Amino acid sequence: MTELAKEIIVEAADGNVESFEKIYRAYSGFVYNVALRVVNDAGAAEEVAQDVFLTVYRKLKTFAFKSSFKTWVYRIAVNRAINHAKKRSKEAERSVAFDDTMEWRLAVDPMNEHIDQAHREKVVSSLLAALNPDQRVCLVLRDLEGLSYEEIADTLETNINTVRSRLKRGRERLLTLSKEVAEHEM
Amino acid sequence: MKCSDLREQILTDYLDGRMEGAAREALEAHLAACDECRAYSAMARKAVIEPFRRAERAAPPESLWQQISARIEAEQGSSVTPEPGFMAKLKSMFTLPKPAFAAAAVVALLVVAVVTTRLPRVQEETVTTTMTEEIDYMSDLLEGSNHLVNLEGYGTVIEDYFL
Repeated sequence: MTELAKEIIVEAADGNVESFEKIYRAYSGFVYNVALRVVNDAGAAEEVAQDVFLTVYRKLKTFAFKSSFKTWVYRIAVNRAINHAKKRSKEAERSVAFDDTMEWRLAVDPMNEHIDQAHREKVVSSLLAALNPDQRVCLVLRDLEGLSYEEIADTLETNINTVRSRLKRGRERLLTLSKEVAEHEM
Repeated sequence: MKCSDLREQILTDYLDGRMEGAAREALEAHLAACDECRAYSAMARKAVIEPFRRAERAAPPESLWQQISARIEAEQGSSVTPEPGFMAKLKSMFTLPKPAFAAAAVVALLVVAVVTTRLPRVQEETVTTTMTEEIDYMSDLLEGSNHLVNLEGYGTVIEDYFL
């Protein structure tokens, strides 16, 4: 995604709603998708996305153009999504992950190529539900949004080795679950 | 390199297309020779990478922008504009509204006036009176005046009897 023109950001910072809508149109796909995949609930994803864009609007004046505007928006979106996911109590988190995993074990095989879109969607949400929020965000940014390791590290304000490590652990976990499903079906 | 080390690379840099040149050639040579690692790589691609790459991107509902723009317009209506920059915040810390500034100035002038005029005079009068009384008392003692006794009396009949 290309960067927006500086004038648009400056006008939006001065309160121009039309310019702010251009910012919204440019980034709403990313913000909503990341929120949806990380919080795993459409209603909560809308709440997170709304919160992200209101935060962006209120803080526009403080953006100093010293870094990429896109990364700045991505960072706000990812932080809000992670915070929302972590806010849920550990007990609820465990319960949801367990239920989703069980449902996935009984109904969906991620290696089955002949599943329809609805089932494919279920596979993705079940896979993501089995991960912790930090691993989930890394996988979403890499595999669904196509960000490079460097872009993920910038967005999360961490280093590439941490990104690589979270991807590795997350994928190892998913691979273990896939093997369990395969064994269950035999 | 051990199979476990190579599998770590398979799960990250190799499947993400970040491996190039000699490192990639070495890994692929190993995959060609090692059945277990080859199966591991194929399963990882199929079970962990492809489901995400095939997933469709959800579009945000159109009502989302309407909600956001309504909130922004409400904030603008209540004159809650975007957050001011750092310099504006700094300036506002040292700026008082005009009526508040005027009131503060009047209070400050009154305090200065009282401190520099009224309080020293009161203190000076108190000191002068006390010193005068002390001098009179000492001179009465030296002169042996019975005025002191009378001063301590209560003017009652019983007092007159005993004294």
